[in-house]
Order: sequence, then C-alpha cells, then structure tokens
Amino acid sequence: MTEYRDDELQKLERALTEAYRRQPDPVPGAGLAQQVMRDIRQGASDSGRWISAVAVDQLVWRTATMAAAVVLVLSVFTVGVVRSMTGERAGLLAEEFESAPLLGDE
Amino acid sequence: MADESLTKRAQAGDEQDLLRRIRGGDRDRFAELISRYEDRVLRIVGRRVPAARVEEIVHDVFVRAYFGLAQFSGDVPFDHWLAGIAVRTCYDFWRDRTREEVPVSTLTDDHHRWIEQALGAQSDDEWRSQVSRWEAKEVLEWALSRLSPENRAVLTLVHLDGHSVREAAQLLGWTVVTVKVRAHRARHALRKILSGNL
Repeated sequence: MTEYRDDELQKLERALTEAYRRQPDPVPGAGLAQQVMRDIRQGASDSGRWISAVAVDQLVWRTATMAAAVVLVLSVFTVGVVRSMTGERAGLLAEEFESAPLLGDE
Repeated sequence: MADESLTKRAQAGDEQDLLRRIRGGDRDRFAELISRYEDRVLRIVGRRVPAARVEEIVHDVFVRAYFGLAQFSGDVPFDHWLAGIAVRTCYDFWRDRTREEVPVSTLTDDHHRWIEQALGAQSDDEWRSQVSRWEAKEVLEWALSRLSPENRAVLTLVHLDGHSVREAAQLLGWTVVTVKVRAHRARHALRKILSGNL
C-alpha cells in the first residue's frame, strides 16, 4: 500500500468512520424471542439437571467423609483399647517376673 | 419536559417490576424485554460482526442476559447493562475467530481505487458519495480484521461509535486507564494498517 501523509490518513479515517456510521441497521429476524425463550427453558432445565447432579455428588462426598470419620474414631478407640489391654498384660507379666525369684537369689 | 421525565420514570418503574417478576420465576415475561430491546441489540451487534452471524450473536446476547440477571444490580439502567453484554459477546466472537485463525481478506484494485477517490474528493458532495460506496465498508472491514480483538473492540466503541472512554470502559468491563491506553494503541495500529506498515 502507498505511504500516506498525516492529513491523508486523517481524511481516510474520517471517510471510514462515516462509512461505519452510515451502515443500515439490520432487520430483526422473525421469531427471535421464541427461539431465545425456547433455549432459555432448555438451558434452565439443563441447569436443573446439573444442580441435581451436583447435589448427588455432594451427598456422596458427605457420606464418604462421614464414613471415613466414623472409621477413624473406631480405629483410634480400638487402638486405645488394645493398647490398654496389652499394657495390662505387660504389667501382669512384669509382676510375674518380679515376684519370681531370680536364679542368683536362690 | 416534565411529562417526558414522568414517562421515563414510569417506564423505569415498570421495567423494575418486570425484572422483579422474571427473577421471581416468571420466566416467560423475559420475552417482553427481548421485544423491547431487540432493535437496540441488533444495532450494536449488526455493526460489529459479519451479517451472516448477527442473528446468532443477538440470540446469544439475550440468553446470556437472562442467565446473568442475578448479577444485574440495578446501579445502571437495564439497557446499558444489556448493551455491555452485547459489546462483550461481539468481542468474544472476534477472540474465538482469532483462535480459529480465519484468513484475513486482502484489498483488491477496486478498494485501492476507492481510497484514491476518497482522498481526492474535492467537494462535500463528492466525499459523501464516496463514503456511501460498498468499497468503503469493505476497506473498513479489512482494516478492522487486521486489529487484535481488544484493539478492534476499543476502536469501534471510542473512535467509530463515538463513546467516551468512561462509557467504553463500562461497556467492556475494563478500567478507564486500560481503555485509554488501548484506544491510543488501537488508533496507532489502524493508521499503520492504512499506511501499509502493519
């Protein structure tokens, strides 16, 4: 393309701006509102389905979290009980050893 | 004058009531808003996207507006808010098109001849007849198609539509400073394109 002077560029810009403003307005197509409303109804029911899918997901996650928490509490409780039982056993065993005379004592 | 202001206020109240009903679940009343603003949205979209895609984009604007109604705070008039959605939907159209890498058209001898004639117009009548020709629109489309989607959006709003920087910022959802900088860069880029340097 040709190199234009500043005043020529301004003139060209002005012509293009005027051409832009003179564009005729497009004619509205028939039935736009009906088409939009149909898609809105469709979109709303899709989003309803999406919401219920999200709700199911949340329910699954909540149930899994609660189950995991119950398992954790039970595990801690079981470990505690087992430890205390083995502790008692160990204590009893220690008492046995202490009460029994050692070889050198005899 | 007072009558006009009262009518405007009554219309605004009527619109607020309509919006309240739609948000309250009376979905079908949205059709009233479509018929009220269809022409305005058509005018915005029709000047920004190719004729073959206008209807589809106008449709998308109203669907976006419906699902975005919860975000409409009422701080600005509804038609301004809707115009913003229209402008941004057109901007998204050009961004998607850039990603698709649609080939840019080139200028023909007819276009070059038109530029020379437009520059050489001696009288106002001659100049007016030149700007009405189909080549004018095609040269403009050619130049705009070589701009980035951001520059195109700002240049169209500020330099072609004649919106203020503040209005353009509101419509695009950008800051005033961003629009100011972009508008300057966009005009510079357009001049380079027209001079054949870009």
